[in-house]
Amino acid sequence: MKRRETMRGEPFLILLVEDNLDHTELIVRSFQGYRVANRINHVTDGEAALDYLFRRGAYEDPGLSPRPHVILLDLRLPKVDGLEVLRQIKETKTLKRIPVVILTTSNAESDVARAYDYHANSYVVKPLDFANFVRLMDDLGFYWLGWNRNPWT
Amino acid sequence: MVESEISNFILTRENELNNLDVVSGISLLDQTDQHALLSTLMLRERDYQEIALVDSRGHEQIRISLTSVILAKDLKIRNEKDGVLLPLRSGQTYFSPVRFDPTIREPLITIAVPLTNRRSGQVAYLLIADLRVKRTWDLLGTLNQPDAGEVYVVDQEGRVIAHANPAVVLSNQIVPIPPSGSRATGLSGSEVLSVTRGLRLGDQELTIIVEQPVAVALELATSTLWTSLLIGAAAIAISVLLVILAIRQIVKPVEDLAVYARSIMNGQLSQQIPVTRRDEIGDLENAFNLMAEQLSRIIQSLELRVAERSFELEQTGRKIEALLAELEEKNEELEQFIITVSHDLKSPLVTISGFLGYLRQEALNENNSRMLEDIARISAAAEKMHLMLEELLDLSRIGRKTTPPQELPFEELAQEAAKMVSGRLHERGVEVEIAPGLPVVRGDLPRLREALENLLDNAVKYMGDQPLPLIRIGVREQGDEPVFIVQDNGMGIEAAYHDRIFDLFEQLDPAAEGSGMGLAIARRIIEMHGGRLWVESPGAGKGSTFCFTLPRQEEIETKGDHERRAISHSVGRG
Repeated sequence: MKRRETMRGEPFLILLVEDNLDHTELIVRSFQGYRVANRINHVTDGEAALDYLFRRGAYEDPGLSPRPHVILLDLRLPKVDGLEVLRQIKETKTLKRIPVVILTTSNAESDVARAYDYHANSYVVKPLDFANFVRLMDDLGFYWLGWNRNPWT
Repeated sequence: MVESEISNFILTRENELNNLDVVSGISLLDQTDQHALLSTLMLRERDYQEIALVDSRGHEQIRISLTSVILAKDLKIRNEKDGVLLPLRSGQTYFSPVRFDPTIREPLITIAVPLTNRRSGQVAYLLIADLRVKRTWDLLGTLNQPDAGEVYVVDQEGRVIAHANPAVVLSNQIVPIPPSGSRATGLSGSEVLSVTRGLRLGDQELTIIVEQPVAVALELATSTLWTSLLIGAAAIAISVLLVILAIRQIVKPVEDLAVYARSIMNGQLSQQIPVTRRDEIGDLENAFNLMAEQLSRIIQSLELRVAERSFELEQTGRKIEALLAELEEKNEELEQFIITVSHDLKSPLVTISGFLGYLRQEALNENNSRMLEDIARISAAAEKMHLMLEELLDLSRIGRKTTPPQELPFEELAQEAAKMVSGRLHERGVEVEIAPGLPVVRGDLPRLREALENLLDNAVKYMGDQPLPLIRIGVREQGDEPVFIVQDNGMGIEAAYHDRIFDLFEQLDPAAEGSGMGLAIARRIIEMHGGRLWVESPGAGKGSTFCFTLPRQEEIETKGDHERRAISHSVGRG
């Protein structure tokens, strides 16, 4: 296990948009392994994701919907599709700066292409192999929480 | 002709003289009567210069002259040495040579005609007449050729005794008698073509000579030749012309036919040749016209067939195009389907492998706290996969494994379906109401029941926190076909998702059980029966009504089409 310190000294907030509960568990467990302080907020469908980000509906209270430092977004989502969520994020001035990492089972080229068309910051495919899965999560953490710079704060 | 005139003249005189005795009996008459008879004869014709009746001793009995008076004392004894007295012995008429009498200035010829006593047969008397041959001159004059030819008479010695021009006679010209039809030197001295004819008068041999200057003769011949040539040429020209005309009569129509035949070759069959003749050409024309007509008809029918075939081909072509387009569409749908399916099957695998990993870790670390939980998750994921695959298989089987259509009252069908899901119904405490008076439905009953089960299942799943969950199954008349309804008072569905819920694997609540294919399958089954399945819901928290139609007189369509059509509806996105 690697220890890292945040550059900024405050916990990272990750918004995980994932409908599969098992997958959520897997991801959460991984991130829990990090010593870097981080919090994961989780929504299970696209509509909830947008409500959260735009602070409306159930998430009107900003206290309930702090801005995340990075968004992990699955493509297959109920209610509102992942790509649609991505598009809206990247077309909104106040949200477009948040890096969005597509984390999905699909490795279809068309999905990849379209994701980048909508200005996804990264596209990662969930591995079927546990070892790789762990490593990916580690690297994700390293990169986005460690190396990557954010434009605010 | 000339000679017959001349000999006629002389012989007529001979006859005349003979008749003086035979007819008139001059030898028996007395002097006065003899005188009268002879005078009459002489004055009538004036051909005689002198006639004398002479006895057998040569003594003149009487003599009359045209120009002088003869008295008895003038009578003489005739004793010419020439043949005048010959007839006394020969009994033949004697013709003397032509001589020129200077006194009267005329040519004369003496003829002596014997008068025979009928009884004794002896020649008793002689009539000696001097004939004036001046007449022959005149005859020759009339025969005078206008183109400088000459006709004249010569005696045995070649002396010209008669000629239109008396000067020639008077000149006592002697000419050689040329053979008839030869070129000779004529009287005038120029080269002539002469033709001769003999004239016998007793002993005398006279020759009539017809002369024609060679030039003239030739000219005549030449002009005749030219005329014949001209006529010949004209005849040839005319016959040539006629031949040409005749040929053209034939050739022109044949040429026309050739032109016509050529135009037929070029495809113009509509013209017809006007048939104007009844002969062979006419027949030919008729034949041509008939042929053209037949050809035209044949071509028309061929064209018709070609048009038909073309049309058929076009249609077939279009059908093929349409089928190809459909095939392409279906291939795409299939691709999408496979992508979707493989994608959705991957999810449980991620779960399984992920938690297996953790399980291993936990086993190594002897951390049991989560072990059972993790095992449970793995199990569930595996189960989900299994279910997914089963339903996929089911989905594909719909339409292929068909049961022959049967009829059943919908009420019964609903009851059977409710019984199948009774466990879950009971679990959630859902009540099911089936309206009375429902119509009879016809179709693949097991499948229809399955569809109904899925609808009920779905209703139960999405009851939410409804305290008094109720499902009503009924029918409402909408237009000309009944609309069956499965109504619940559960969570309801927002308008935006009314279509998406029928998509494959679509689950509004990810925590829900099942594979998310129930509605997709139900829709497929309904569509296979020719009906439609949709949902009506006022919104969240206000329940939903699933509606479907089942056309009255439907057959179960062949799988293929419908299956894929349903899939394409279900696969809403990639």
